[in-house]
Amino acid sequence: VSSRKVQKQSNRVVREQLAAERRRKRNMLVTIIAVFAVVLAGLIGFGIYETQKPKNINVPKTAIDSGHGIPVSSGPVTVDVYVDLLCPICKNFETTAGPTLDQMVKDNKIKLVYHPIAILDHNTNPAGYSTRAGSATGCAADFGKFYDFLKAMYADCPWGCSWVWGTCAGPPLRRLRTMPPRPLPPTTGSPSPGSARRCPA
Amino acid sequence: MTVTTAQPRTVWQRLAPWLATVLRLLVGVVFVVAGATKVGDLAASGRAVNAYQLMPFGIAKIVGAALPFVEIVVGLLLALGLATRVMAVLSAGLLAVYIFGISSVWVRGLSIDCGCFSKGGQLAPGQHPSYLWDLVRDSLLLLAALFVVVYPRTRFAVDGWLLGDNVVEDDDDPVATEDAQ
Repeated sequence: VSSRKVQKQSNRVVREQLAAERRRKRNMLVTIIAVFAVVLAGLIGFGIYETQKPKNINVPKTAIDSGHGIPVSSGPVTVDVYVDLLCPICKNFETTAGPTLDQMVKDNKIKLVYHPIAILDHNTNPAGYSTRAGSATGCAADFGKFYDFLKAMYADCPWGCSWVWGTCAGPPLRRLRTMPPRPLPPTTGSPSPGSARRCPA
Repeated sequence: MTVTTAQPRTVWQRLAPWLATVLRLLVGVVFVVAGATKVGDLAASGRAVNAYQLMPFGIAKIVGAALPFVEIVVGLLLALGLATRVMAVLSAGLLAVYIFGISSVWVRGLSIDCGCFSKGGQLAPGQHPSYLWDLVRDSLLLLAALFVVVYPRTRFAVDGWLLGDNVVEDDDDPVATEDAQ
């Protein structure tokens, strides 16, 4: 092996080491920028969510559980009821379990907390009946009429009592101006309890 | 991991970058699609996270708002092949979290939509959760992501263009060619 060849070889080793070092640095830079992009994306998502959030939220004064629970009584045992006012099964629950709950409220046995939720917003046209009806209960709560209003909504409901979306629009809605009397999806075929038109809970 | 360039490359060594390329694109596209289906309604995404009942609602809302964007960026960078290994690690981490979340929901007997490719939330009665399928799919994706972690040098990747493709360099071993002269 000639000394010139050794010299050449060691030069190349140095060159390769330098190139590897450069590549390592560039790799590090790319990694840092990419991770930064991911973190930035998360922050952007959070920022968009924050700006999308409705600004004028009036939480009922009596609300608990970070604003989404309305207590209608006080007692040693808490009973949480989640209701969507477009939901026939919620109405069923109200008619079957309601009297028992009322009795327990009267006897001061339970703290009954209602959570108006909106899980059926997409079932009306325009969407959002559940949200608006739920919001209306919040307004009623500020006048101390939450429970009465809830009961009235259920008692006077040609909409929520039906198995069929086609009849989900009725006088109470128009009175509340929450929804035009045209529901979605339109009823097709014969209404049967087992059909796809059946209201989910 | 030592790469012995003197030995002729095996079929596997030639195949692995191509397989890694396909898996990288697969995981990347899945993440972009998953993020895109949720990004339109961030409040719903927050509710979907909350449906897992693993964290307080306040934190679930923040996670739900950030997650679709993170998924899109991780998926996009994976699909482009930029910072491939780091993005593969991140996507594997996310998938591991999803697998944990779905398993815990299953074990606790909750009935939810996993929110994997939709806005998620509670399931209506009569609808049955498909946790097994969700877990199988996420596990396969996790394996794909881990493969890319092990073999981050892939074809059609911005990394290869940006950093110089090691695989190609390994082809003509400079020491061997010099000695042959």
